[in-house]
Amino acid sequence: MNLPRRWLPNVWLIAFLWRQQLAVTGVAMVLAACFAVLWPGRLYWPVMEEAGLLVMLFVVVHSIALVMVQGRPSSGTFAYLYTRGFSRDRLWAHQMLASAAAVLTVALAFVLVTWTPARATYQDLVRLSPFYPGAAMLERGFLLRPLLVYTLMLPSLHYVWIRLAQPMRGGLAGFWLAAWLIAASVIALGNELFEGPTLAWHSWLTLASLAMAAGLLAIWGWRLHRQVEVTR
Amino acid sequence: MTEQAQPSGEKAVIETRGLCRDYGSRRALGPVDLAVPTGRVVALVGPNGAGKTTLLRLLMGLIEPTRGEARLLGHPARRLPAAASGLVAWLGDGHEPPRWAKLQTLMHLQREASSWFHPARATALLEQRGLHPSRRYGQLSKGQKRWALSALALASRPDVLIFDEPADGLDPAARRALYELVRDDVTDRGSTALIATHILTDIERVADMVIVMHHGLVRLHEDLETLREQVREVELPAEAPARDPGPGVELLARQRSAGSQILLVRSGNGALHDLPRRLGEDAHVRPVSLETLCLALTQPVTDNATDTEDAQEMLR
Repeated sequence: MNLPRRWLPNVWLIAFLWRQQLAVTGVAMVLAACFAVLWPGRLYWPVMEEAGLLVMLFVVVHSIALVMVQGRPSSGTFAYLYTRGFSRDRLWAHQMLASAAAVLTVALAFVLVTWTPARATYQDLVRLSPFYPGAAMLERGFLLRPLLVYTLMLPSLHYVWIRLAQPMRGGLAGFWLAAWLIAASVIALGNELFEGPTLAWHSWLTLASLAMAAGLLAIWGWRLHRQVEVTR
Repeated sequence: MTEQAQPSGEKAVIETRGLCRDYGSRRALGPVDLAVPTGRVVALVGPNGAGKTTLLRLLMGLIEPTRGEARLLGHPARRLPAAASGLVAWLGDGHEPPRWAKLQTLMHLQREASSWFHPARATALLEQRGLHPSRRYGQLSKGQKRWALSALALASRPDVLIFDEPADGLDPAARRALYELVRDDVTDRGSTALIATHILTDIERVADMVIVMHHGLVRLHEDLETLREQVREVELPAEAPARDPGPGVELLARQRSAGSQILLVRSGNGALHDLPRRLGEDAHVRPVSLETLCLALTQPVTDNATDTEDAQEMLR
């Protein structure tokens, strides 16, 4: 089946949007790599209460930074991109893909540091931790929770940011839902709620309500994006 | 035009009906009713704050009208179908790619956005001004940036070109070359160009139609050829007595400058040929320039005789 060209992801557009976020991605990569190298314990959930929340806080701040860099309707670049002839749907989809690519870039830096001898060598050298390299298998699932939080948050934050930037009343619509979503994601996924081989019913319920809220905000964001005013 | 479609007479490709835009309690534009037929170069002129950019942004669907509607290629401007959105090229003031972007990257993006984009044409246009596609946008001078973005827009072979101050920063030769490229594009492919500018001498050479805006309203929307045939500029001494220009001559506007007064008169019935005889030897009658027309329609009169009625009285 031949899909129309305009329905397919475009590498140039993704790369362009990804490149816009390079400064944020670079800082996040350095922070993620430093955390992996310097954290003296094993990296699995629950890490430690404070560290878990710290990781989630990092995810929140990183997501906000990504969205703010990419979706500023008053910037010249935003206006340039929105007047090239791309459809609004296509731009929105590519923004999501570029955000995902930026997150995966940071995740890659973390994975490379964790799964290569870099961390073990350093920690052995400074006698920081007795666990390496033996803990590598345990740590394989560490990134799943942060990635899940990114998935919940990025479409929601895109919606909130675009909505706030629009010159229309009711800019806070959806803001409180997004704020609840972020707080609930961080608290629920950053602590021991999802510990253990099987999840309790209330964990599933929490996860389902988070996914629903994120889905709702993503749909609102997609619809709003069709009407977004380029304010420059 | 797309390659399939050919120019089709007087079909309006740009249309507005009762178009208004408010910012808070301030009306920036409207109501504006326009119909621009296909295959024209249209000059959109007027003083700063006249509403030109607001009109263009509404036409591009960048902002929502407060009232009324704007249509491009027969579709509401805010809801252009995906297939039509690549048929409109826009060059906006301050709408610029990031500094790090290479011209080549911008070409790739444009190719993706517009099915008719012609990379070889874009490269040729860039190289006309010594720009290589490997250059970064941030390395270019202001005029080069303008040229580069214009080249990309023209190489997209759009049905509609909407340019806001395309000549800003361009040297006179580049300005002339750019307008000639636009003229050729419109003539060869039957596209339509709407160009907002303050540099009237250049656009006058290539435009078919003019829209004069003032205080958010359209003061004049006509073919330039008609204006050239029907409108004359009359220069009289400052203290010249009232004279009769003849029947069927309408006074459009009046301006005073040091030592003289300029009247713009219009007639559709050939009465203009008789003007020099009727107005006397000290009246200099000449074809009107776009700049004079624009100034006369938008600038306040500078002395006590401030309104058209007063000027009409003087002519009588």
